[in-house]
Amino acid sequence: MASKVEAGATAPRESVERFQKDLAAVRSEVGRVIVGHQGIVDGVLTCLLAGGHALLEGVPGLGKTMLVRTLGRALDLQFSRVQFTPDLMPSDILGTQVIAEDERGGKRFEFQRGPIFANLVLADEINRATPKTQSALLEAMQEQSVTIARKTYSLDQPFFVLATQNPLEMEGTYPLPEAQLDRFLFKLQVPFPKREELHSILDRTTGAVEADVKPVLDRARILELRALTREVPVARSVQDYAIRLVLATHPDEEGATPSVKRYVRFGASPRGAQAILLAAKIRAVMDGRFSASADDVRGAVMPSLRHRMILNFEGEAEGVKPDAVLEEILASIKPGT
Amino acid sequence: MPDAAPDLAILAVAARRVRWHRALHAAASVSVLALAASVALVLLTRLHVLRVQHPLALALSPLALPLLGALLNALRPVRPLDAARRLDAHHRLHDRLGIAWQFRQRPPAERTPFMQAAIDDAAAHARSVDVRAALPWQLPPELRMVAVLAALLVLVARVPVPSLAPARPARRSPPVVTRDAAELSDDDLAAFREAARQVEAQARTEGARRGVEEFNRLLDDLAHRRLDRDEAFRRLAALQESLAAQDAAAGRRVSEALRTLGDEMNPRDAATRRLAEAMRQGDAGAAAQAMREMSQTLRQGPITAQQRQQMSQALQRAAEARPDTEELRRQVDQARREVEEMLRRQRERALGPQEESLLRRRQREAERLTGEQQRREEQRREAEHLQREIAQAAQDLARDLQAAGADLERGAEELSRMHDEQQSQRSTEELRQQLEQLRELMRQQRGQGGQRQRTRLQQFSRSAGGQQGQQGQQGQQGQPGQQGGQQGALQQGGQGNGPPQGVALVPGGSGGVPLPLPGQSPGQQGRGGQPGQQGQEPGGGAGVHHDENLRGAAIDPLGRTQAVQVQGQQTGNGPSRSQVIRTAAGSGFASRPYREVYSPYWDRAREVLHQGEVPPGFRSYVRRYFQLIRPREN
Repeated sequence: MASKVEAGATAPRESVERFQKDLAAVRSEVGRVIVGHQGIVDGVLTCLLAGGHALLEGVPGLGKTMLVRTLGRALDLQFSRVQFTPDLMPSDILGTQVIAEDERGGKRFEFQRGPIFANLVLADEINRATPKTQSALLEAMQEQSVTIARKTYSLDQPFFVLATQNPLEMEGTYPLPEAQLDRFLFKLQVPFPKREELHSILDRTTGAVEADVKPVLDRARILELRALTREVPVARSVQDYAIRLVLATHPDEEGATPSVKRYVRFGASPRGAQAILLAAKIRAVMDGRFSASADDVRGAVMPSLRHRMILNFEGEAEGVKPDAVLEEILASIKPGT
Repeated sequence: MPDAAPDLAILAVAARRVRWHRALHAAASVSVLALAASVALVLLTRLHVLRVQHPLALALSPLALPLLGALLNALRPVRPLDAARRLDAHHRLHDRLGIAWQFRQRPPAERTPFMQAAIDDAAAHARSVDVRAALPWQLPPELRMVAVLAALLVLVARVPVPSLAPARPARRSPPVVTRDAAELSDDDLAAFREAARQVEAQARTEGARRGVEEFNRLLDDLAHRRLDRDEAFRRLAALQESLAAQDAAAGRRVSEALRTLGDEMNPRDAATRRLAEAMRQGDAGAAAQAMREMSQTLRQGPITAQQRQQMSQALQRAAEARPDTEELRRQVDQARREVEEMLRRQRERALGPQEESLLRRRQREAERLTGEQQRREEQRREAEHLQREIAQAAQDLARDLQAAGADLERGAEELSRMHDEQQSQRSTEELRQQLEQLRELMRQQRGQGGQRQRTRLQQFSRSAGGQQGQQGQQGQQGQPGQQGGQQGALQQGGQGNGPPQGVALVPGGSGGVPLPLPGQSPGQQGRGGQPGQQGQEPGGGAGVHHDENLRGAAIDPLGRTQAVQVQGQQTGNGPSRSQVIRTAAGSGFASRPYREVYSPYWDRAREVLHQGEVPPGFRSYVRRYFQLIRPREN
């Protein structure tokens, strides 16, 4: 909270500087294992600090899982990984009641916690599990708690889910419904590494020495940083710009571009605007500023909205990418107009 | 002002600079218009077209406009936020100045520490902002045009210009009014023009094209009301004569000649089957195509010896085919001898009535047979050239396939020429029909154009035995006739051009096209009563007798029908009859395009008309009906 962060004219400056320093340390530790992917790392950290969850999309072998594991080690958080398969049941994630015997020989039900009871949960290949299992996870993401046998268990904070999915293999998968995709603050697309980056990857992964990652940020500090980011103010013009961008994704709205009118069935939800503003605030602080700017909003649009737009049949049939539609929106909607 | 505080005072500086920029650009834009106006005024003044007391002052007065434009733009306030955006964009400040300005608008008590930090941060950055670099003076792009116009103004002001005498308003000659002009509605003109276009597309010969051109000129003259009715009818008659002078039977001769050739060819012979069928149908175009294909087959092969022989025999038979003239010649000789014998007897003694009658029949028979003989001779000549090529091809087939192919190619060209003749004859025939329709339409034309004609007809009717002709005037107003008092007169004047008196007008139609109702235009054929005329004595019995050659029952001469008058209301808004029909057929309940439906119906109607199943006096109504419901372009 603001009162906890510091008060006075110089407090924000010091807070921001400490914020930058902490994040630089995390980046540095992650960078010892992960080559490149700076944008992905920043995106994941943004989700963590905004209190949201991230969906990573990329072909196998790009280091998505490694990135999350490394982040878990650098953050000194309790980490668990769930490999989603078609036969995975909700109880495999949430936990289940098992019969336990007490000292006097009596038997009773005892709740055995599932892997979701961790700070950092890696849901690997989330689209391979059935919708029933997916929804169990996503409910926990939204509610930040789990209810088993009429008893509710709160999840420890910070609770951060990183889900991955492969965009190519669609056989035997259950694509996440739009309503559930909306639960993810960001959808990050992991690109293929460049030539130089590949050299570094090979050097690091085929040698005898394995990089050691040290925890640089603990749970309490992460919660402090979360509170700090909420303090960042947003000017009316910037907020208005974010709203106009979100409205422009709706085909019936006035500012809709031709591509939106032609290919989009339904635009981003208000959660999209929330995601943009939260991400813009964090970007501003990362950059050492005290308020989110229109540039920060523009930078947050792609990961915040690309999974929140529902394309119509024509868009799906023509293979239109939401990113292309968003680029057109960014080109046509200017700040302050 | 909050933005005028020392930390963000730079925004006020930037806003002032933006105002001056705006003023400069506005002045340049308005200068273009002002200079253009000045040039025009100076030019008009120097040409003495414009006469004022102080020409220079007037000419230079528009130059005050740029100053006014500049002043207005300089005084119009600029939002500091807009100025801040430009500074932020130039110095890449991530909206620091703009955001800080917005935060400063809040009361200090409502500002959070972060807001204050943002303001302080912006103030710190503002110290390094260079307003001149961010908002540089840029010359307006219109300056080049301003320079050009200024030079032009000097030029116009200095170069001697000959004084122009004040132009006298040109005397406009009164519009030429054609009295008793033949009138056609736009709809009719469009129909005739469309028909002319179709005929022109089919016309292959010079004569047919000339006919279409003349027809188009006639339509133009009618459209511009340049012709009175007499002149229009004269032009129509001249055109019809000109068409009649063309060889109308050429196409028919071609068809018959081809049929003669086709009949001689073996229909079961695969190599020449298509050619034979096309010839038997008298279709020169299809025959030319079939012959070209045969030529190609011969040139490219392969062809067996048996096929070669069959083809040669078929072609030979076609080449030797001649119209059967021997029997005809014998009949002609016989008829002539009989006529000569009877004439000789007539010279010797007076013939009895029966002999006279027989003589006339024999003479007519001889004339008919002679004509038939000539027709067959022409038919033979028509095919002569083609048959030579076919005969040559039949001979060359035995020796050289390439040469035979070339022969057939030439034959195909000859067939193409014959096809052109057929096409031209069709187009000429079509044009004749159009002319006939136009004549009919002009005859039936109502209104002022037909006044003189009607008056003449009424005078004729009176002098020919009818009475009370004065009542006929009422008929012009559409009063239906109640009694056939003028029947006798009209029987004598059967070719009268009297206009139809009963006319159905489209209710509410502004451009309603009159469609004469059968039985209510007795002047056309001399049947029925003259409507609107209260004849006192019946005539000589017109309509009592019935010509057995006409189809259908006799028309009741007393005309016991109830004529209903429909009075058109000239509201100027309603659609025409054809539009009503077209709308219903086109979009009301039709599942096929109207154009596709119309064509077969009209073809069938034409066929019936051609077969003579419709009495001649009624054919024009059928044609007119189909003309009105024809599919339009839009």
